Amino acid sequence: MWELFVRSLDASIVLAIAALGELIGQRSGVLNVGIEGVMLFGATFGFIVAQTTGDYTTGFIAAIAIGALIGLMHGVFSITLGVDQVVSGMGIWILGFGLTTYIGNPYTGPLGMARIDRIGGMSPFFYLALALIILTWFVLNKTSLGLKIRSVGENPAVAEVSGIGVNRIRYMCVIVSGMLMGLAGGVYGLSYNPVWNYNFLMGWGFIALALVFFSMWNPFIMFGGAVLFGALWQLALSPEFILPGVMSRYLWRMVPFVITVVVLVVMSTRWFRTRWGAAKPEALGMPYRKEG
Amino acid sequence: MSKKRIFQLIGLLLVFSLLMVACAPDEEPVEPVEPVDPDEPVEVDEVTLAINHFSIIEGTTWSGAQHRAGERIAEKYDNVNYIYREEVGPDLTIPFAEEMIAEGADIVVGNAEFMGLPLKDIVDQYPDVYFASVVGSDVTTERNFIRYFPRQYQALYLEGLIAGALTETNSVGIVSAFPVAQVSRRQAGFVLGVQEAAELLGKEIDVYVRYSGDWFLPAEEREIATTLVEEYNVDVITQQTDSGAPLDVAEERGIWFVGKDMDTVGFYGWSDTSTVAVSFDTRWEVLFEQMVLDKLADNPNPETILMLGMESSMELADGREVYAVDIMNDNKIGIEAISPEALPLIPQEILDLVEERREMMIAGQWDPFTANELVSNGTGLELPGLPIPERGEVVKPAGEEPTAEWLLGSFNFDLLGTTILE
Repeated sequence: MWELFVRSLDASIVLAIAALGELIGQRSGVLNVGIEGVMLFGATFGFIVAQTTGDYTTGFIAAIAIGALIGLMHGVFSITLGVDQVVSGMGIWILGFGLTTYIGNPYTGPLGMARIDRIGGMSPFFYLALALIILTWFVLNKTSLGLKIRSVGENPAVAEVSGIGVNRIRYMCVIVSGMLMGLAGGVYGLSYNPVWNYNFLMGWGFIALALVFFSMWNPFIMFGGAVLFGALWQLALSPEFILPGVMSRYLWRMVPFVITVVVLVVMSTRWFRTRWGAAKPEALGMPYRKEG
Repeated sequence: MSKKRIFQLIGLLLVFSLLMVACAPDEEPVEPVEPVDPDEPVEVDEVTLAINHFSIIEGTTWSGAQHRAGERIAEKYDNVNYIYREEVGPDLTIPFAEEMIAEGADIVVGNAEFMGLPLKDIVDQYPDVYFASVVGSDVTTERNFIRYFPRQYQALYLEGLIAGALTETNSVGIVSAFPVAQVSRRQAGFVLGVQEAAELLGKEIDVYVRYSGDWFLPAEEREIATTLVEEYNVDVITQQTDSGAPLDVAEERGIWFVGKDMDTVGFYGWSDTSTVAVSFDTRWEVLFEQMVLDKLADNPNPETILMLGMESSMELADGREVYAVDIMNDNKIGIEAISPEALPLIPQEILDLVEERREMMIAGQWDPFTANELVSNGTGLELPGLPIPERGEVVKPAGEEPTAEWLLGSFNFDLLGTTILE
């Protein structure tokens, strides 16, 4: 059982790192629905570079760098050009799917490198993810930079009047956001499932996107959601270890998604929002044009 | 943009769309199919074989193998051309088929089950073209609509013998996609081999099957493979899915892997013989050659159910003879396909049996599904009008040869002794 839980954590940390990237972008008011595409870029470039150089570090740097570049591209479209952020995000997803299929094809197959050592029985990325989540929470809630990020996500016009460079902050956030999504792709492709195949994320980016809404833009709740989703997903694959013979395996496979829907419905109620103060950034998804 | 502008734009788009539709050529009336007297065949000078590949061809074992088959046919016959489209989804099956027919295709192959019904819809519009589609479980055909699938279960039976001999924990695992005739049939071939090895060696071997739910779910396949190893003590694993994750898990955990439908060591270099005990290869070109020869002879009534096995072979352009299916590993075939690291672990009586049964299948004198009784496990997939046979029911007695149609379309049960993990 413990092994199953640890393995579910391996899946959870990929989702958590990607969702953390999305959360940072969204707190600054920029929505990126192309998270799956950025992860595909990170996973593919990380895989190719690591396999070519035989070095994990270089692979992860490549994954983060390509994530930053795609984040910057999303920034140019959604911040400078002010295009619809959903359209830009969808474009990134489609581009990621198509381009990584084209570029990654010759690399189809296992990575063929010795596995990254575990620390205390856990993936080292578990500790990294925890550190990043604590750091993000601290920056967002306890620093002036975090206040600026939240300000531009809530009311960019007021933030601008207060002397905050809205575009500068948003650019910084979308780049950091892309870096984390690229890293998440790298963790998936180099550590969790190091066998390249086209479209091998199969929708994990969209689960990460849902986790951000699930979390009410709080990094700790988001991490809890990722752990819950990972555990339910693992349980759905091996239900006989906990509740043998209770339901068909096909029904079990629905459980993580049904619970996600139920939680989202509960969270959308006025009672819940009043009680818990859901923190959706008011300016999320809205392009900002400086007046005057 | 003002509302007026938006309406103007929509109006313009509508007018443009109407113009495009108006300019489209009238549909040719469908000519009734004139039967051609097969006694007076007309030799065809040139044939174009066209394949709609459902996935990309590079690095994939299914489309990649069928692409190589197309190339080998074109290499062998100077008067055969090979064209293709890749990543063809259900919505593109007909457009790409018609595009290739316009390019001169005489045989249009759809290499995924989902292409069958769309292709069947247009067979009457192109009476001179052969259409072919791989079979999942639907075996409907038309005069010029062929259903094809190789007897992979024969090679899987040999793999099962080897897997049964190799397991030390007496646990063999299968990471599988979902219960459908194609999958159940292949699993049954493998299980028959494992059970026969167990009987010969006095072992009690469990075969565990867990379904992921689809052909390609890399993360799920990895988790299932790992669970089979960790929780079910599996030390020989195989797959009825498409990702490389189970192979990677086998390598990571230091257990034996038995290949699915491609020599991943020899063709792709994805692993080595210290992990892959044996694999098998499907020579789709043997099936395609039959279609091409029928077309070259201008046969208006080609064989519409093509289920070829080890007894069918073709000579490649380089003079090598290849069988429709055969065990293969690291570019070696037959008994030599067994990994040199695995070979000393397999008792001689099993090696002799593998060799003997392979030769008999090549000679067309033996088949695992004909020779053996097929007893239902009570699990499988209920098909319309075809419930899953009760547990313990002898679905087919030993010594009776099952028809190709039954094997392709009605094999909806697992063999007794298979543990399906619910």
